Amino acid sequence: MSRRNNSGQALLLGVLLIALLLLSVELYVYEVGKAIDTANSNSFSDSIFAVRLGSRHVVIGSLANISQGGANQNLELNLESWSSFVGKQYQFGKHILNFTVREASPYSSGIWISWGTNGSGVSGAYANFTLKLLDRGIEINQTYAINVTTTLSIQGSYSVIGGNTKQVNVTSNLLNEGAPALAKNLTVYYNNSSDWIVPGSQNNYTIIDYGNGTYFMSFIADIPSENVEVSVHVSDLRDITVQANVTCTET
Amino acid sequence: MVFNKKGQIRMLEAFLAVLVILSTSVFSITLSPTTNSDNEKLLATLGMQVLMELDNNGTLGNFIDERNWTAVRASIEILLPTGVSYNVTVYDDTMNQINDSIISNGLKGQKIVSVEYLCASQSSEVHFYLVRLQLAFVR
Repeated sequence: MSRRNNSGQALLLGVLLIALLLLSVELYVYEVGKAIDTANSNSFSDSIFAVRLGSRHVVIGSLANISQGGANQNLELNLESWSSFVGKQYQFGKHILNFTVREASPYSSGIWISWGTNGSGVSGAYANFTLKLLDRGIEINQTYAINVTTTLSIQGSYSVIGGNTKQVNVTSNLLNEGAPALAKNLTVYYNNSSDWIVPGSQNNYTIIDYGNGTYFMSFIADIPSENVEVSVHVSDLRDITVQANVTCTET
Repeated sequence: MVFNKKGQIRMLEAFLAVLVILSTSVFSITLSPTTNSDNEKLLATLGMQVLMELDNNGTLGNFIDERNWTAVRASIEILLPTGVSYNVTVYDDTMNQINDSIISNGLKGQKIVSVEYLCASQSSEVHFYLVRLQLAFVR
């Protein structure tokens, strides 16, 4: 009876088992690590996007407030509160949000309000942001600017119907960041002996909304002066108010 | 004539060893928790996208300003796919819960994912909120 020497095979099996264990652990760690990396990457970008969106809302809300008579400093105060609120959240690491409001002309404290008599009106706000996101071994820096501008331009013309009675036509165009925008409220006034009067049904007042930010208003009024001045006050869908005045031309 | 079959047996052993390694590797990949992680990632991404979509034009902040929890519930249910249960809790800037009614379709599921979203209202009086959205796949 012959005896076989199996020590070589046992050794080989042992080595294989160890290799197998190592390989399994390596694969496990690799797969788990890959999943966490991808999840974190998405979470960070979502988190940054959410903070940017919030910053934009704060700038829009502040501009709405200021255009309705609030102090220019409200933008800075609101952004400080937002920055502090963001800094207290830690779901995806620590957020550090810094900002500067634009001071270069025509902005002051980040606000540009110019409601002129040349048929053009602007309500705008501008702030620069730096967002730093810190987590274990991760530091993400993001800089962005928020520029919110509501622009109104108007043109007016009139024709004399008889005596002091005039037919006045006004066309207004509303833009948000240069793109056509709809108005939430639009009021037209005409100047009669230093009184600003809102035309009503007695003036055959009509308004046509073209749906693309263009509005055509028409009315009849007794205006003794040859200088027919009209003023248009508009609130856009973001509640930002803008107004513009113009002297109508006779046709 | 006597043949020495030692080499062939060694080859057979090596082949078997490779086979064992490969099958074990495949087995370990199948057992790894990738599927669960993927589901969690999917839910977290879905939750953030729903909240960002709702907040994109300031709608979410306006609903919260108005304490219109019915509108929040209706909007989230429109945006979420079927088969996902959710629960929403809204906190103010001092971390006090402000929703006085339940915004949920009955959260149930083996794995619950929580997403926290910072929301600033777009009104002329700016308010800040933390919206916590919990999600789970209904089995």
